[in-house]
Amino acid sequence: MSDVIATLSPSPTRYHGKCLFRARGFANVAPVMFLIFVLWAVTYVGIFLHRKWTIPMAIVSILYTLAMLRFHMTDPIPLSF
Amino acid sequence: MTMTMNDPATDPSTIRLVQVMRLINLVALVGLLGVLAGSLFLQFGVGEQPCPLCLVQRSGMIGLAVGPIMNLMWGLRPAHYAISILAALMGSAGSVRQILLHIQPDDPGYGPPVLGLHLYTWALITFVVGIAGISVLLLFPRQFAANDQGILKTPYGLPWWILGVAMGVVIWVVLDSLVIAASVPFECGLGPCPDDPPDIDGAGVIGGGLYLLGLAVVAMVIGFAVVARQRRKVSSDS
Repeated sequence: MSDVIATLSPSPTRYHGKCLFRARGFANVAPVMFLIFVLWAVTYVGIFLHRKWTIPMAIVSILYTLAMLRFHMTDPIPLSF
Repeated sequence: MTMTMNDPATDPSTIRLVQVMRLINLVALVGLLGVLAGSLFLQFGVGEQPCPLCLVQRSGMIGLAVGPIMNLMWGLRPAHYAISILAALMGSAGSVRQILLHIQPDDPGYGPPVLGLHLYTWALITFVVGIAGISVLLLFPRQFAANDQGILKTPYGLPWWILGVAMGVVIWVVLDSLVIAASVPFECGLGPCPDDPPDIDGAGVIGGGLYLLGLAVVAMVIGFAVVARQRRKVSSDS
């Protein structure tokens, strides 16, 4: 029975391939980890100067961090779900 | 029968609620400051460089801190809380990803455990507590009726030294974030970070502690200087 489940369940390796493909699609930006913190620094500048673009900049920082997270999702999770 | 309605912007109970909310935001900021300072201590004191997912979680912590900072600097607004919730969701995605990578029973996990849990597990707990806490704060919409403009413009009778401490904490969080930012190019260059970065020579427990203490002193000096400048400006205007 366990052999059947193992055969039917997608292996981590196959997920691994999919993840890489999706990562390229979603994170179609320069993978510069440093840029995350530059964006947050610009957000802080906006807070201190009381600029209207501060909240959009914070959202851009969050989205870029998500893109970097997706880019670094290369190792398979050792579960078959 | 005549009904008298208090102006919500000057109603004493509303002002009191704003003061309580400011205090809660300040306490939350101190908690996040502890997390950020702890991560800096691990990096520069112990010498353990952060992995890419750790940096994603640090970004989540910085984003979570942006809401309370904006609430203190600009005044209480729902949008500021929203930024914190979004950042906490993003950070928790990184934490969950790292927990799942080390989910198997024989996996020792990444990095040393602290109080029985790994740092990414603590990070997830922090993000979830942050989201829950903000949700509770949003149950009191009267805090937004006071047209609060921040602790410097509308102190509502707060003692100047509390304002100084609050500004010092804000500056301290910003300085910690800038130090984290400055350290990233040395580890990752201008590209993606290595999955398992090598450890560096740390400054030791005393060296790391002194480093953090130095940052705290600089932050408090700047914070009190900003408040003193604002007081001078207000007194010269009046």
